[in-house]
Amino acid sequence: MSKLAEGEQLFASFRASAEKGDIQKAKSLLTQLKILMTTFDSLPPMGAEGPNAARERTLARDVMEVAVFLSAREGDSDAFQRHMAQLKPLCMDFVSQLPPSPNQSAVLGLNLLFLLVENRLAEFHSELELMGDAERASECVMFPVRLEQFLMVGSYDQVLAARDHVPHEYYKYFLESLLGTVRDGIAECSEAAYSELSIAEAQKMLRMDQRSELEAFVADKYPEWELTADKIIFKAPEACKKSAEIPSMRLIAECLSYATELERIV
Amino acid sequence: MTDVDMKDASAAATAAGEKGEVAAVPKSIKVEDIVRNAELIVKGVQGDTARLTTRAISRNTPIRRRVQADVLCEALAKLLPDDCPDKAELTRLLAKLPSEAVAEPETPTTEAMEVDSEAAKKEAAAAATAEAVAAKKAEEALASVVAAKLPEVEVYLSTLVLTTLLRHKANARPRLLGLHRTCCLRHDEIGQATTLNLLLRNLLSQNLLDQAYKLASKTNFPESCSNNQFCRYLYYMGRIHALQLDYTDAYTKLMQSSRKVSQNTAMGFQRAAQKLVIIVQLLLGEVPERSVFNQKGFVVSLKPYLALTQAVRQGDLVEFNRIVGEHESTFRADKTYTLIQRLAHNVIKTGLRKINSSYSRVSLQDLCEKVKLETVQSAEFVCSKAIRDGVIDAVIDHKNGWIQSRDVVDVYATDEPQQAFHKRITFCLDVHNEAVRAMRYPPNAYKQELAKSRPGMEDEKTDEELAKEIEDEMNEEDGGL
Repeated sequence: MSKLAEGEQLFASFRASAEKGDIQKAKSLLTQLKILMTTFDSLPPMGAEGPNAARERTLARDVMEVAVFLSAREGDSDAFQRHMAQLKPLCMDFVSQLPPSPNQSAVLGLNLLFLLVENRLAEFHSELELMGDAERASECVMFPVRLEQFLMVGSYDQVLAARDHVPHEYYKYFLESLLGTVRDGIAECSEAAYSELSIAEAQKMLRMDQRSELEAFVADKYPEWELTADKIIFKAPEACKKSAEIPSMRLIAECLSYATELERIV
Repeated sequence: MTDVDMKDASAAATAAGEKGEVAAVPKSIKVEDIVRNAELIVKGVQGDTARLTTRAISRNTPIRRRVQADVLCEALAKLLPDDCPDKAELTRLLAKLPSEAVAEPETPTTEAMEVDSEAAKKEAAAAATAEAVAAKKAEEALASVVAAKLPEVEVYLSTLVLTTLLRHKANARPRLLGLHRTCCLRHDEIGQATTLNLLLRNLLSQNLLDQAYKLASKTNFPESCSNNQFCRYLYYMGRIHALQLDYTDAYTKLMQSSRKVSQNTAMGFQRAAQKLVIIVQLLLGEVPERSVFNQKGFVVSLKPYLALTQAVRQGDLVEFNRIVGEHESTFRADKTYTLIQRLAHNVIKTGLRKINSSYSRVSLQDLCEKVKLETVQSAEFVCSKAIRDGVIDAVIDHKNGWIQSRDVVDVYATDEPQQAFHKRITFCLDVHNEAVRAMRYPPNAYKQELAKSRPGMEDEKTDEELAKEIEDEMNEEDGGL
């Protein structure tokens, strides 16, 4: 049996077990597949052309796509990044040779969402630049883009509401971690915007069901907040930024530098 | 990536067209001009005098604009040795061009491309000659010196092949990278600058931002060798930073670029840079000055951007969306569309700021309607984020559902004016220092001044004459003995 046929067979059972949710088995199959794929000359970094090149690349791309979904499902961000990095050259560089993948936009959107959760916005926008109009218009890509806009503007409630209608089942694994990011954002903003807030309201905002949960959160991240029986009192921010003292060292340094520079000119 | 060079050429051509028939009959370019220029490059390369090369490059400009295909063909035939691998390819490409491909302002785009490709071809012609001659000389004696300069020549060659013919193709990259490496190894600054810019343009034209950013962060751009290349580099860097949300850096780079660029030419480049500057400024939350839009030569091309700026300034989300929709194709062509989409939240911020300064206390319900947000809860979150980001200075009273502005702090009670003052002084001092550093001292000026200050010496005699005299005297003495 040729290596390619063997690989295709392995892939079929890999996909089946990944879809069934049999993660252990899927992972061991994935390892076998990866070892097998190292013998394919048509894949990067060799990139050799051959009679089977297109088929081999298609197989590799499909394997990597399922691997990306698998690691998203597990919430394993390291593995996700690795698989994404392996998938990208296959998607980008051989785009004209391979049949279009049905999962393309889902994978791209998932990657965007991942970058958003990690708060790597520069990379988020770089990835977005790479996409064509058709890709950008697909719901899977629109979803993280909208989320990013909500986060920028600060409509955190809409971010949280978005959890209820995800375009793809694998998105919800990352959305769970997005909740943490959003909570931090809300907490930081409330600290600046309110002088005090009732516990019930704070719980509603942060989407916490129990008071104990809120207490743990505050104790962990914002020990300076004061919790009373029914409200949180934030540390009042400084009333105004009037300079209490003159920054003498800085002023002296600046004046001296002016003097030396002027000396040089005159 | 909008091709800056191409715009450049088209702008130049349109400018020529606008001037009417003044330059209608330009001095036609002859084969000799090209040959002379090629000789200059060869001399520059052999004699290790960068100035000759620079002169050749500046003389290249008129040739580039007006040269005709048949003349180029002739020059190619004359200058290139038959065994040069690119010769056949070049001749074939030249034959494809219509012979009157030059100043026809009616069709700016195609025409610009042709001008550009011809320009590059010319450069290649010059370069290839230099290469050939240099190689011959290298065989003779001066092997090390000339060989060391060869990559420089090769860069010109690649300007041709790579900028025009393979412009958007990924397969130009390995060759360019190889060239860049060679240039770095041989400390060839102009070569480094050119290849680096070509690489950046190539990457950006395919939106490979990440790669472009990594390339730029791992290389050093030689800033002093060519002003034009430096401007281009700054523009590319500004674009990269802007797309990666690093607006402050982007703004500095783009401003520097538009200040450094030569003011009378390269209108296309200036326009492209100005557009980006405006967007970045808006993203920073600043409003560009009205005078920016009224500059000569900018009015028409900046019109959509003016409308956009006004919408952002008013903080009107509906108007903003209307304008973006109306000019979408323009913005897409300028490759600013994605940046503009990010402006939406700046519009909301401006709206909030306006409300905050007009009301001392406003209910969240009213605010929600004014800024056109969906829910009151959402409005509350948006406000609290704006407060944290320092856009507005206010306190939200959740119980009563209103937002109360804090008293405006007198800015003169802080050290902000002093810091602004310091920033300006530093800028002025930097300008002065750079001006001093940029001055060039001719090697013999000092001696001439010395000679003038000594009364007994004859002023007319130059150093060369003096040297000659001394030599003559020596010879006579030798003969005498």
